[in-house]
Amino acid sequence: MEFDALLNGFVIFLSFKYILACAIGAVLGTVIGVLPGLGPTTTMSLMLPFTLSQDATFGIIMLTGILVGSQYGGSTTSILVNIPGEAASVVTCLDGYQMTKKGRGGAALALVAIGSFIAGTMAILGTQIFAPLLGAAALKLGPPEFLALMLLCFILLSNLSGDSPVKGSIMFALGMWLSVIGVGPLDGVERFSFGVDELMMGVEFLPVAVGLFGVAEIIVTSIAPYVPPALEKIRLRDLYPNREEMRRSVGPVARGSFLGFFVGLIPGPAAVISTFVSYALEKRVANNPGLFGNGAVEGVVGPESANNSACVGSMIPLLTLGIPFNAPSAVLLAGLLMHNVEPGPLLFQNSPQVFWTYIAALYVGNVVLLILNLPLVGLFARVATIRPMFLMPVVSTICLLGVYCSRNSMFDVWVMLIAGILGIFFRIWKYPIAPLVIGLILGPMAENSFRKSLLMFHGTLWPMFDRPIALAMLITAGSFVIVKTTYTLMKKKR
Amino acid sequence: MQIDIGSKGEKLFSALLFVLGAIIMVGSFQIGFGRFTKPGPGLFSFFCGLILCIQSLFSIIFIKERQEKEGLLRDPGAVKKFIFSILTLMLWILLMPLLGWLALTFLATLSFAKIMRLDGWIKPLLLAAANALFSYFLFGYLLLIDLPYGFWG
Repeated sequence: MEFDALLNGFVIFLSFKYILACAIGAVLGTVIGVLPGLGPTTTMSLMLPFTLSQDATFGIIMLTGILVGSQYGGSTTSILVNIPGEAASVVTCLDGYQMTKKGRGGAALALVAIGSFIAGTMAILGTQIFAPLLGAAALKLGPPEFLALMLLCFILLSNLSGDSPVKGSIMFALGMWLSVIGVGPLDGVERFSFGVDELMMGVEFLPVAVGLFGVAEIIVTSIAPYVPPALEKIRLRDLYPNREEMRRSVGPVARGSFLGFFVGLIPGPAAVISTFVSYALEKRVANNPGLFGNGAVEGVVGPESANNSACVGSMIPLLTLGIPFNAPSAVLLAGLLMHNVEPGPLLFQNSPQVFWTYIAALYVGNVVLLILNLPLVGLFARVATIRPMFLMPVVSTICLLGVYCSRNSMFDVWVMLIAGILGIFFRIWKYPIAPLVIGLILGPMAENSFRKSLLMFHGTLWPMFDRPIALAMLITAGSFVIVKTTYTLMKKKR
Repeated sequence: MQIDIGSKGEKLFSALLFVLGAIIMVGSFQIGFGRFTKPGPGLFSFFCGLILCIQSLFSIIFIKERQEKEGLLRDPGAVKKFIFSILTLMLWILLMPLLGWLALTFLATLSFAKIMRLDGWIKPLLLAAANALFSYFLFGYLLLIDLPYGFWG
């Protein structure tokens, strides 16, 4: 039955509209991955208004294409010029650039593209198998389980999204409060609108996300523009890895695929975390760990496979539970909600064609990205040489017009500007932004679960501990806090 | 002009967050907690405000004093660029009903190009014109979005 559903998904996907969405997402994502500064979250936020004129499937295909494409593109400049295109490609710089210095940059690019393709395909297969099962199991989750999950998200995101758990929790609480502004859905009571008519509709996700990620980046770049790197030409014949490199890549690709997939299921910046964990793993299992940092192919292929796998794996909590575990998933959730598609346990009952068309698009998109990143990698690498003084003015007008035209509201543009100014200070003082946007999108669900749990248990939350799934999540959250605190104290003692 | 945005600025920001948390808590109380057996619309936001207050207090106490010699807004040139960038965006918003989106796209692009020190005037003007054309093609022609033209339309 699943095979029939997947075939049906392919039939629906193979229309001009969805193929176009896949192609736009893949190309845009690869370009964004190559350019420093503009990350996938910013670009996905910018593209949200453009998806409104199409259906939900178009939107989710294009946005995911941007996310996965950016993982491919990010490795290009990491390998060629030691500048990571985005955060998940930082680790690739360690050995990728060393390979380029030895004249094996082209081979590294080819191995990364092939490894990412294999890892992505395996992760899509895992998503296809596990997501419907998890979706069915999620139907048994009630408000207490969702509340426990929110608490787990709060603890993990606060700790994993930056250097300071205090700052992470501040941002999460701020995001949750922003979600409360407006007329409450349960009571119809006006909350924190301060007499401003536009605030009665609530604070929209789009202007906040574009402001925090996009406008802040534009202003930071205008103050301190990055210097584009000088690139050597990559020729097609330079892309062939030798037999030894291919043999050494097999293990890291397999390990990276599995590792990344399961890391993607954890709240937090999954793609970034997966690369560091994969690098550490490869160094540990390597026959010659001394090669790491000097051009070890395992240190390039493993992390890049892991981050692609993590990107796809991180879609599972979003699609099955309706809960984004990182900023790009939060943007995807916002996109789906804008199209009145509610991901979560009921997605597989109410709109299964959205899920299966999405899976079909992921398979095809993965092939498209491999094709783009092998012969055309030289062309994409050239994009990194565009000076920011040409690029950022164009991006600024896209931010302004994109946010304005989502609701034809100048108020949204003001919100974007204020968020952008705050975003700069958040960056200066190292307040992580991801918890704020995730808190903003999860706030209504968290409040709903909280109030329903209190109603269910007649004013107390202790009965949550009698429910096995909720108890498991609470124990996980508690254990994480204890382990982290102990580790921090022991580190300080030394 | 220098702005101290090091540890003093951060402490001030944390203090503002503490005040915001307190306002949220008071506001939630006014909206109404209800009871735990029948939670009201202000209960959830009260806890958000409480977390904000407690954590910003920790943040104030544990911010280390530091002398920062480098940073994003440390030199007067950077502060000038910051102010001009914000002004460009504000003027775009304020003048939109009057000048329309195409003219403002042109002017905003020109402004950002000069803030980022693009040499001369020919390149910035060409970039501004190209961006305005691209924006028209994307928003006006392809996406058919109705945007204000100001007194031009």
